[in-house]
Amino acid sequence: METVGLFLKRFLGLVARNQSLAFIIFAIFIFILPQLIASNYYMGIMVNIAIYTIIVVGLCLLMGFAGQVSLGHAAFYGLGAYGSGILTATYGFSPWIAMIIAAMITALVAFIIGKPILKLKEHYLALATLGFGIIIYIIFQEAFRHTGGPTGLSGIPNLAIGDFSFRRDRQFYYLVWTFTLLAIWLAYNIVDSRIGRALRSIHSSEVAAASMGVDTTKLKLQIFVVSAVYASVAGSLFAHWANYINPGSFGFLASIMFVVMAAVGGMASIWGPVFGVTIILVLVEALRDIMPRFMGHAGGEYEIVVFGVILVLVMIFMPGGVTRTVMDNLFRVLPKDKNQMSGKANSKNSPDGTVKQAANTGEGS
Amino acid sequence: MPELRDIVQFFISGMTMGGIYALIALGFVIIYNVTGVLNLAQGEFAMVGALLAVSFYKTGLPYPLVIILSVLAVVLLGVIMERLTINPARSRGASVITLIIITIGVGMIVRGISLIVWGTNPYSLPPFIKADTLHILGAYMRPQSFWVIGLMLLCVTLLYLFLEKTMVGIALKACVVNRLAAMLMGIKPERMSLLSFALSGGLGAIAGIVMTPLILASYDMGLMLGLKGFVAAVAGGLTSAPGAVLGGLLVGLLESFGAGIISSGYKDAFAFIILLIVLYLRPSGLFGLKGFKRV
Amino acid sequence: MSILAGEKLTKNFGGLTAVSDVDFQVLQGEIFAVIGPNGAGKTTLFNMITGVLPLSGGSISFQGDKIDGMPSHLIAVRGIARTFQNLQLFDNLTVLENVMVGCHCHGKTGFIHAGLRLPQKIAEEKRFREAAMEKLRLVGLAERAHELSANLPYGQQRLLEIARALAVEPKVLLLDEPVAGLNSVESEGLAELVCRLKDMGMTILLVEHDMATVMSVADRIVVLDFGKKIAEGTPEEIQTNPMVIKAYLGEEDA
Repeated sequence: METVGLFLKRFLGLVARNQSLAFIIFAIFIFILPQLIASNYYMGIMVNIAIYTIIVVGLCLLMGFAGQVSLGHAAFYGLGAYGSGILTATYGFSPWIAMIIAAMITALVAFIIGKPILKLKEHYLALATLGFGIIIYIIFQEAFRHTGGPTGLSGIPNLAIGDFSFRRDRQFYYLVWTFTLLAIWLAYNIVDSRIGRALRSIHSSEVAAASMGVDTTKLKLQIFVVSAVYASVAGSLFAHWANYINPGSFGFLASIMFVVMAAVGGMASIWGPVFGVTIILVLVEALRDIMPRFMGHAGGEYEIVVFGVILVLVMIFMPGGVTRTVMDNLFRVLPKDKNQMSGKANSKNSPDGTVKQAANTGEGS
Repeated sequence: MPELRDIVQFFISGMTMGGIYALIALGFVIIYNVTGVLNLAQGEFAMVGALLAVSFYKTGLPYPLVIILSVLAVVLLGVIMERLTINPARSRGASVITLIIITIGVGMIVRGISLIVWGTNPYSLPPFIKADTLHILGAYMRPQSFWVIGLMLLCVTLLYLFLEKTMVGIALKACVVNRLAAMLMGIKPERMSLLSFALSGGLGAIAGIVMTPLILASYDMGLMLGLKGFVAAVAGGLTSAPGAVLGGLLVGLLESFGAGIISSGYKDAFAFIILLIVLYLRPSGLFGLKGFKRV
Repeated sequence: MSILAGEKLTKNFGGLTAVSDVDFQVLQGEIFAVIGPNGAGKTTLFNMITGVLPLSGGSISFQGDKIDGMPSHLIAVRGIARTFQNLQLFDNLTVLENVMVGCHCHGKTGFIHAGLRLPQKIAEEKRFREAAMEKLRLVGLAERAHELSANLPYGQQRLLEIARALAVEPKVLLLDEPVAGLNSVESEGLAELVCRLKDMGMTILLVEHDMATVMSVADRIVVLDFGKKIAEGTPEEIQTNPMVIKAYLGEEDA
C-alpha cells in the first residue's frame, strides 16, 4: 500500500514538473472522458468548463502574468457571442467566418479601449475595466433592434464542418475541448518565451522592464487584446452551442466570476484556469444539487451564501490559488527540479497571491 | 428642449442621489486610505442598513431608535467583516486583488443572507418627518431630500472634525500616510483598519436608511449603489473626503441630467461613462494627488 | 571622445528644484562618478538620463543624438543600461530569467512565434540563455541561475542587477549606488568587477556615496550639492577641493 502511495507521489511529481507530459496526459484524459460518462448533463458541464477555461486562460495571461487587472472581461465574451450570433442568425454568415470577424471586432474594441486605460495603475485600471464592462452590458440590453434586448437573441445556428453539424453535446464537446487545449498550449508557449518574460517583468517592475528595453505600453496593449480575443472566441463557441444568448450572461457578475475562477485556480499558472473553472462550476452545480436536500424548499439563496463563504475561505487560506497550494505541498516532498518554471516554486514574492515583506519603504508596491 | 421645471427636477433628483453616492463614496475612501482595500461590499452595507431599519420599524420602536440601532448593527457588521476576513487574510500576506475578491465574497454572503431573510420584495420606510412635498419652480421636491443632503453634510463635517481634532482620528490619518511610522509611534494599524471598516459600515447604513423613504429598498440594491459610489470615490480622487462628496454629487447630477435629457435606458451607463472620461483625462481623479514610484 | 553628455539639465518637482543647470560629459571608456550629499539630485539625474523622468530643462545627447524626451525602452535599445538604487529585480523570475529580460531588445520574436513555438523562437531562446549565462559567469552567479531572484542574498541581488544590465550589451552602464548595503569584502569585489568591465571597453557612469569605492575606481568625478554642480575633476582634485569638503562637512569617509 505504501509503495503504491509513493509511486503515485513520484508520478504526480514527475507530471507536475514536466509540462509537456502533463499536457499530453490531460489531453488524453479529455478525449477518453466521453466514453466513461454516459449522461448529457455531465457532458454539458464539461462543455461549460471548456468554454470558461478559454476565457480564464486569457484572463490569467493578463492578470497573473502581466499583472494587469480586468473586472470587465465578460464584455469581450459578450462581444464574441453577440458578434457571432448577429452575423449568423441575422445576416446568414457562415459561423466560422463570423467567429473570425467577431474576434477581429473584439480585438479592435480592446485596442481602442485599452490604449487609454492601460496607462492607469492598479485600482484605476480595475475601475476603468469595470466601467467599460458595464457600459457594454447596457448596450447589449438597450440596442434591442440588433441584440434582441433583455429577451435575447435566438436562432443561432450550430457550428458545422461541411455536412457534419456539431449539434449534440457529445459532438460539441470534442470541438470545444480542441479549442481549449489549443488555447492552453498557445498560452503556455507565450509565457515561456521572450514575450512572456517581458510580460512577467512588467508585472514585477514596469520601470525596470522599460529600462531593459521592453516597450511596456505596446506589450500591455497587445496582451490585453490577446486576452480579449480569447474571450471572444469562447463567446462565439458559446453562442453556437446554446443557440440562444441574452445579456444576463455577460454582465458584471460574469466578469467577477471569471476573476474569481482565475484567483481560486491560481493566476500565475497555466493550469490554474482549468482547476479554478472546474472547482467553481462543480461547486455551483453541487450546491444547486445538494442544498435543496438540506434546506427543503428553494435553495437558491443559500447557494450564494455558501459560495461566498467558500470563496472567502479559499482566498484567506490559499491566496495563491488552489493550484499553487497543491503544487507547493507536492514540492515539499520532492526535490526541486532545475528547469521548473519559476511560477511554480516556493517564493516569498509570488505575483498572484502574496506581497513583498518590505519594511524599507513606505510606498505601496 | 427641456423646460425650466424639468431642469430643476433633474437638479433636485441629481443632488439627492448624489448625496447618497457621496455617503457611499466616503465609506470607500476611508477604507481605501487606511487599508488599501477597495471594499466592493460597501453597497451591501447600505442595503443591510435599510432593510434592518424596515424590520426594526415594523416592531413598533420609535423611528430615531430604529435608525440608531440599524446603523449600529451595520457598524458591527463592518467590524465582523474586518476581523473575520480582512485581518486574517492580510496577516497571511494577501495581495490587494485577493482582498478585493474577499470583499466580493463577503458581499455575496451578505446579499444571500438578505435574500433569505427579506426575500425579493421591495420595502419602504416613512419619511423622517411628515411634511408635504415642496414645489420649487414647478418641480417636486420631497423633504426627505433635505435629510439626504443634510445628513451627508453632517457626516462630512463630523468626519472632518474627527480626523483633524481627535487623537484617534489623527492616528487614523497617520496610518494612511505612513503605516510603519505609525506603528513605531504606538498606533496599531489593525485597530485603525477595524475602525475604518466600522466607520464605513455606519456611513453606508446611513446612506441606505436615508434613501429608503425616497426610493424603495430591496436585497439587490447594493450592487449598483456600491459601484456608483465607487465611481464617485474615484472621480473624487480616492484620497480625500471632500473629493468623495464632490464626486458623488457630480455622478448624481450627470446621471440625472443624462437620463432625463438623453435616454433613461442608458441611465446606469452614465455613471460609468463619466468614470471613463474622468480616468482618461485625469487618471488620479479630479482632486486626487498624483503619485509616482520612487526608483 | 564624449559619448554621453548633458547640458543645462534641470528638473523641477512642483516647487522643488532637484537638479539645476547641470552640465556633464562622459568620455568613452572612462569611469565617471557622480557624488554628493543625500538629496543632491544624483538619482534624479540618472532617472532623467534613462527616460524615467521628463526634463524640465536642458538636453541630453548620446553618441551625438539627442535622447531627452525618448521613452526608457528606446534609450535602452540605443545602448544605455542601468541598475537601481533600491533594487528593481523581477522577483517573480529566476536569476537566469532576470538576465534574459536584459536580452529582450536583441530579440525579434513576437506572440505568433512564441505561441506556435516556431524555430526562430527556439533558436532565440537558446541564444538568450547562452548570452545570459555568460553574463552570470562574469559576475559570479552562474551556479544560482535557476533560483528565484528573490531568494538571493542582498549582495548577490546587486550583482544580478548588474548582470541584467550587461545583457542589454550597453555602450554606457549606469550604476546607481552599486555598493549600498554591501560589506567591505563585497564592495571591493564590486569595485574590481567595475574595473574589469572598464577593461572590456565599457563606459561606466556611477552614482555612489561610498568614498573609498569612488576614489579607487573613478577616472573623473562630478560633485552635486542641492542639485547644482559644485566641482568636477580627478579624484585627487576633488579630494582637495574646499567646496566639496564644505558640502560634506560632517560626513565620514566610508
